[in-house]
Amino acid sequence: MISIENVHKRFGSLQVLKGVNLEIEKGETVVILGSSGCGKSVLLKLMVGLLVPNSGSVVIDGKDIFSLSRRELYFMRTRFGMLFQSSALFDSMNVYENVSLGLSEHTNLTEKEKRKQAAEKLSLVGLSGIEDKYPSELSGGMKKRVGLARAICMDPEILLYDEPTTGLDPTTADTINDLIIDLNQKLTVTSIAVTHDLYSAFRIGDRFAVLNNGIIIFDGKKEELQATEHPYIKDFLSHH
Amino acid sequence: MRIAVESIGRHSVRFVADLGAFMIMLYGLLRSFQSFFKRIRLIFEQMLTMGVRSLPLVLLTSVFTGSVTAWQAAYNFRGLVPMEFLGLTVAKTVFIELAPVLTSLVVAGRVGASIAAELGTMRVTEQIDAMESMGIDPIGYLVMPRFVSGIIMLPVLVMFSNIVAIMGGMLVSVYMVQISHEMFFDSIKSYVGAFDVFSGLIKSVGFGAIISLMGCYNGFNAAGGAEGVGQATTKAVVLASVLILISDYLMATVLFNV
Repeated sequence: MISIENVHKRFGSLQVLKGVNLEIEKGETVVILGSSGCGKSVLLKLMVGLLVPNSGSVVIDGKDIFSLSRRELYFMRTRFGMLFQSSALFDSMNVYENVSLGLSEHTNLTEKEKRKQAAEKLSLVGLSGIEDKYPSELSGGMKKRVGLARAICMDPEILLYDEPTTGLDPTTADTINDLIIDLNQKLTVTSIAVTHDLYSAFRIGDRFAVLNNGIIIFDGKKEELQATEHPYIKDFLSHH
Repeated sequence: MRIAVESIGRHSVRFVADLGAFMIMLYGLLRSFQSFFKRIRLIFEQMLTMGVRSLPLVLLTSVFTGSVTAWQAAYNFRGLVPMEFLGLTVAKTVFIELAPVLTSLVVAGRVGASIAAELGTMRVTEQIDAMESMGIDPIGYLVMPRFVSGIIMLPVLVMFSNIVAIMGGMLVSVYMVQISHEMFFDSIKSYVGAFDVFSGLIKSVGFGAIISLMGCYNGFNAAGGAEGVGQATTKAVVLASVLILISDYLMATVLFNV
């Protein structure tokens, strides 16, 4: 479904990605692991076209997203839902407006239908009845869950999670993990998460890719990851 | 010498890169007018923020601008020019120059800074990325309503500024300089034409565009957290103020033949 082919990305003199290759099949949950600052979030943003690679391609259902016209790229993005590390809720909008923005922009639903759909998604993430609150009135965990409700509001085929549990206390982090597992089962989506939180990764992931020094150094199942003799991975696993 | 050349080279590259990025935003802005009617609600919201909420500050500035213009004119007229020309002098100075330029500088400080800070915060907290990831064009959603609001509301504010500044000038002329209000308004009616009013309003359309574009461009390109937002805000206000003064001179040479 998603094929990342020999992607290179540089910021000024800093070469972040040095030829990343990764295949993601429909319906699976892939977790990309790596230390902070190794380029995991950059890779995620490349998948949805928020960043453009210096070379290489991201192919989704046979189409290189960087060869699409602007209109096609924006349309393609409606197939994605993305949960940002900082939740990235729109400060000036209340929870309902945040969650329903995609519906307002891309559908002709009536206000009543949008309210119903937003309420359904908020109920899925366990946050019914907070539609009129503003992001500044929410806790970190609630913001993540509203971000998740916003990400799934358009019923996307692909969900991207950027550090879904970072900055949350263990209980709230586990609630988010449960929600991700629950949503993946209920919505049958393809999910890609980037994290350095191994506990979260092992709870939500089917397959694991490890990014180090700009390339994917491991791609496989949990058991294979735990059994690998790669020194970086052994060190990474032992420190987390 | 080598350091100086390197510095010039670095600044030149930066300038060209900034200019290119600004042109790309302008192109995006032009393209986003396709969704003009879809954004009407956002445009009205921005008109409220930029226009109505700036009005008290603009009126306060204007009443003192008109008053001090009348006082200074009266001081300079003593023994040289009859006081019956006081109204004419205040009106021409206010309509052509002071109201458009001072209103724009005040709005650049209030609204330009607020646009840059708001969009800059949205940029560094990934809200603009979130918008793009949802398939929403941030130029159409964030920049176009602010631009349209700027070019509509600045002339409206200048109109209010004109009226209040003339009132301020009239009060000083009547109660401090001791001329009659008929004398004050007669010289305005006799010598001030529609062109004097419209030239100021035309200039303010350009100033409105400058304020909104500088706010949007610098906010949109903010980077590096709170410090980056602060720098973007300062840059937006400084660039808007400088460009207002330069374009004021350029527009004056085009509008008024000496």
